[in-house]
Amino acid sequence: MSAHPESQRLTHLLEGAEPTDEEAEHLLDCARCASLLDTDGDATLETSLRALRDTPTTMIYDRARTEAAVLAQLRAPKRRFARVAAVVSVVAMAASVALVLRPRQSPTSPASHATIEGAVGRVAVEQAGPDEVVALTGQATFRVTHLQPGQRFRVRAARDEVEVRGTQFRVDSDASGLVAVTVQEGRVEVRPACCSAVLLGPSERWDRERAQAAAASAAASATTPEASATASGGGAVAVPPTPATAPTAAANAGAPAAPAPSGIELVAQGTAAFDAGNYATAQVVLAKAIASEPAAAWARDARTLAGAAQVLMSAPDAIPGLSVSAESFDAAAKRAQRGGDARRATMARVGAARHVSGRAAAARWCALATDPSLSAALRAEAERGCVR
Amino acid sequence: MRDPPSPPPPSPSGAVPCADESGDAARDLLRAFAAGDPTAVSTVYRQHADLVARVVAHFGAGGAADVEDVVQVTFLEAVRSASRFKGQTSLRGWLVSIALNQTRMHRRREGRLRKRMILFGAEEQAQSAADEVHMADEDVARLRAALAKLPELQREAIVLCEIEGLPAKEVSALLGAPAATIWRRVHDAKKSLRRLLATEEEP
Repeated sequence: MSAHPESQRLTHLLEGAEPTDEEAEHLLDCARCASLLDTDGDATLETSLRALRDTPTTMIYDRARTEAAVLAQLRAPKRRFARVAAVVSVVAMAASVALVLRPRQSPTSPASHATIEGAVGRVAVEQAGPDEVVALTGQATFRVTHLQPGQRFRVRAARDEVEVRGTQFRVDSDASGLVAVTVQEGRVEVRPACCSAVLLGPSERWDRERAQAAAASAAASATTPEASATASGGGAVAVPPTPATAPTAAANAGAPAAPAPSGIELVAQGTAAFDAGNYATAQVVLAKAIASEPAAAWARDARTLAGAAQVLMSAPDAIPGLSVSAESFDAAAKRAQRGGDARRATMARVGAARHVSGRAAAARWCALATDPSLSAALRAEAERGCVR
Repeated sequence: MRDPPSPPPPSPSGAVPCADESGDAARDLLRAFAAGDPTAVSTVYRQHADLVARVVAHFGAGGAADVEDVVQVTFLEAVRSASRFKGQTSLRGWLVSIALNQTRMHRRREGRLRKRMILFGAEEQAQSAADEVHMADEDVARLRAALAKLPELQREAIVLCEIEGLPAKEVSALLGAPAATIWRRVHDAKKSLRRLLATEEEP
């Protein structure tokens, strides 16, 4: 440290002269000179400021947990989202040789006849060759190359199937089969196990709920299957050429003859769909419920559940605003935990972790939950509330 | 500012080199840290994490989760860019400078998120996230709240000089400003803090 300023210079500084850099360095580092110059008050402020440094760091952050996360990220920085998938066994679908694709992935081509874009979930080539079959659980957009005579390209979701007759279409599916198919260009034939086949043209969409409702309506009114298919298009509706998961598309799904279900009934339906793993259905039904009574007491939980469904489907922008707050997931998890609903708590925690997927917290959460080298205590903390 | 920062806690063996020291052992430690060696990363983390966490908290990162986020990202970024660290400043200062940048980025991101939350009607959550403090002592909490109201440049200067007690030369290098400017910021920050605390005490 440099020498103390002379008393005459200190007087000048007291009178408001600006210190030189050398003097300033000294004044910043020398307690005695600083106190001489500090005429604004006593030393209480300095004492308080130093007390901040002595704040126990346990009150500021969890040192061990953060260290574990740093080390885990250094070990496997690119696998953290796959780890989330491993934790959430409820969304892990059977596929022997499957390719796990992450959201916002650039176009990939596990299939030879098509480029696959925006795949979320599992895509696997089930049958290669001229008659190519791709198994899908999740969502993907297929841009099919020009098929030669004798070549086929099909997408299979459980027992349902979509066959390409054109060039570009989007498929949403879950564990039970197709949820929706939207054609952007060309034509595809949708052959659902539940309903009759339908040929979709450009900008047309097939929706399972609508198709099932149409089939039920047709049965109830004793019309012929042909008349029903003609009237409803077998569930096909014209849609604008935009991504297919807008909730309004399903708002038309109710059977025309039946009275519209109340909001709370829709919540019950949405919850049942969620519990059955039909996240796409849960999402649209819950969105409909929220839209019907946005101020209802149950709306907050419905939003959380719809958000969790959305996250589990990895469709981040399907319902804007529903999962905007990671804190809402966290709060929901705590409520569910208090209520003894461990499964719901898990879902909400997963929702929170996925919601903040771009943030370090997600990596920390995943690292804690899945890293076998962590201590039992840390793992227990991360897994608290999880159902195995 | 007058007292040097607490030394890192001694390791169980007592033989772990401090990365801020000179000598072969410290150089080897830094080299291993840059290579992402878990033992070296752990060693450097344990030597400096508390300081980084305090600085991040006092820079106004937010609640505990935010502090952990920024600390985590700071060390990861340090490992990634360690090959560029040529020892112009101390390792401690270098980590603090990374933490400073990361905190600024974090605050900007959080600010955007908060705006979005408010846009979607989640004011209550946005507010609770913003208000989160982790201080048991009421006076300390008041002081921290007053710190949060300071202009960013003043807050950074007073946190590093007065709270963490880093040498003026190091702070000057960290913040990229001459010592006289740092002194002025600290001086103004103290004035503002006294005014803010006095205003709060008035009935």
